[in-house]
Amino acid sequence: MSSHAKHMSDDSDETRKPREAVIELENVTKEFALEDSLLDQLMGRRTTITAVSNVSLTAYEGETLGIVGESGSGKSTLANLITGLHTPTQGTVRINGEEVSSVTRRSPELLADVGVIFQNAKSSIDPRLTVRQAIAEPLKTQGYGRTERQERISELLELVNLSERYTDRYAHELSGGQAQRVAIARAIATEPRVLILDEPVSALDVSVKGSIINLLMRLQREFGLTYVLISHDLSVVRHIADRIAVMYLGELMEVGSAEPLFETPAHPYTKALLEAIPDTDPTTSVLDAFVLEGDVPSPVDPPSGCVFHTRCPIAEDRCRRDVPPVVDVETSASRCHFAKRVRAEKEEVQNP
Amino acid sequence: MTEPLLSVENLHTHFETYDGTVHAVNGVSFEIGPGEIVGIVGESGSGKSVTALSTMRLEDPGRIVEGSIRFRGTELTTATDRDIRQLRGGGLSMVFQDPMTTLNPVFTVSEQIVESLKVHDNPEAQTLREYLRIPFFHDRTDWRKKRERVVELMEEVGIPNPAERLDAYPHEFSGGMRQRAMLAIALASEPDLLIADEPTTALDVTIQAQILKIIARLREERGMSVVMITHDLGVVADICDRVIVMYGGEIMEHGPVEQIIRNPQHPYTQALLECMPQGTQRKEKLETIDGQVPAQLGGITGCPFASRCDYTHDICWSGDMPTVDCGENHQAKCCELQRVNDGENATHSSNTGGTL
Repeated sequence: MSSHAKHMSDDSDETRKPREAVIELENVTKEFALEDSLLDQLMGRRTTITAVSNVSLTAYEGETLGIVGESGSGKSTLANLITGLHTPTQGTVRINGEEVSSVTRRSPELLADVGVIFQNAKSSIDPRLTVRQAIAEPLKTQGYGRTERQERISELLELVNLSERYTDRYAHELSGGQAQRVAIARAIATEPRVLILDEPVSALDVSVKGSIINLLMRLQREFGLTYVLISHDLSVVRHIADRIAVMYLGELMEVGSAEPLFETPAHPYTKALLEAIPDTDPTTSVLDAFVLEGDVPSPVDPPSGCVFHTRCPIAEDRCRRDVPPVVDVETSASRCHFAKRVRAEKEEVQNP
Repeated sequence: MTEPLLSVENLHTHFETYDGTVHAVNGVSFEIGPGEIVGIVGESGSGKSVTALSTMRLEDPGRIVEGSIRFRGTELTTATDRDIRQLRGGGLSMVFQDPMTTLNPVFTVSEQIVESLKVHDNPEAQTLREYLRIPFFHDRTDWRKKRERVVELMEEVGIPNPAERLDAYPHEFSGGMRQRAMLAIALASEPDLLIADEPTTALDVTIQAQILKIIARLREERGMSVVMITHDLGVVADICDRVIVMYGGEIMEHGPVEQIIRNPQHPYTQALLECMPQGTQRKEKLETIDGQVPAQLGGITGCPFASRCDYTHDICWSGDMPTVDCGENHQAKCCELQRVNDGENATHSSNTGGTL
């Protein structure tokens, strides 16, 4: 594994007042062992894949940190490291300044502080529980009494705009949007500080998607929640994220403030991702855009040097050889030898 | 336009359920010309997929109760199974959304492409013997001869190193690669019309862009027509020539892509476009369409969109909605079109008011 003298820093916009860090990842690496043959195991040969490689990232109080990247880039592993479903192979995860380990060893207070919402709400709700029972579960573990629970459930249903008549329904009797509202009610039941949103609207229709995003934005305003939003739908990330981390093959490629990152990306991977989004502007088409070829390479045998060089349109010899340093380009930190050039080119296109 | 390749007229497809008859497709008519890419958009439950499946005559357990589907002059609603099988092997192909469930996990990808080639060459010659790999009893010498063609096809749809992947099973392919394999299977029969049902919905944007490029290129090279079913108006804007907007089993609006994106006439099309996050300032509240797609049990009287529309009047709840011409090849099915586009205030503003 490569070691870097300097890591992706989040201090790029110093103009803002110092904010409290809610989640801090420091040099976090997560490796998974592959199932080797018995012979290999006896010989002591182990194959591991690195799902998350040396990632340092901070989510500040009240902000939305978007994490984007293709499938296989390590986004969900990163989320699982925060929730404690995985424990890091190396590095530390801190929540509220306190170092945390796996979910089973976390204190009830800490568990209450982190809520999770998954992509498929219907399958994340126990099919044998009614809406009321599903929302009551986290309350029970937090020691709410029976009457307190009922009050809190009514309050929560109102918060997520779900009528009381749904409380005795089962997950399969709900529409996708309603199920996602139940999942949100359950996630915020314990008054968490942080919500991990793992593809929260990917499975929903465009009209319903909007109402769930509106709900999430309203809850964030009301309760000052911190969001870690994982999505491959870049138009959603663009809409609600304050800062964005772009991942590729387990490594951070670019971290920066959302708007400048979308306008003038400083990494060729970010640029390629953005150009691939189809929009309704009739003057542009993905058919004319530069399109990344092939798939994300196998993490068993990651490329040398810069992990992106096999698909990068501007890769040179040194990209194959040297791991690029992290370069600060205004509001972004980009891991590319040519970060400044990439950003300047984009600016030129916009203001010729 | 020259002679249409496919013409669907007044198609009605119903499903019998314990709760009653579901009118999934309700009087849909459209034509597809040679070399055209036509998009069908709408929310889940709007009847897009059932329209496509009916066209392939795969509507079972549903039933086509009325209407006609003509492909290259053959009437499909009354055709025999045998005729339909020959068309599927020869002129019509379909690609589905989820390539993991449509590929057979126990055969290699190349075998599945060969199968499609064989069906194309001789739709009646499939024997069980060839598939059962019982020693001495199966003969697949002519399968092996087709391997070169398989490599060509895999190359055409952008599968890297196809010669090395001939023996790969579907689980060894990534999502994007599987969708390409599905495309290769569909192309093996050299179709005139490819029906693609949400072919890129489950894929990353980068892979989606690759697949869209391949489809556009195939249209150029082969003059193939494509029906592209999607819920992403961005995909429609980028690749289609014409677009059909469906809701509640009916066509709400139909016209050239540029017209519909720039100047949508029907309130449903307008609402769909407004829902796209691109149209809203960052962090601002997104537009939504309140309510749900109707269940379509026992058929709907009046306009299916009436319960969610901002312009609903008494007349919207009963009778047939007129289809109004609003430009060249551009129609919208709405009885209040005049009022909608005069910019008159909506009767109620559920889109902008309310708590969410």
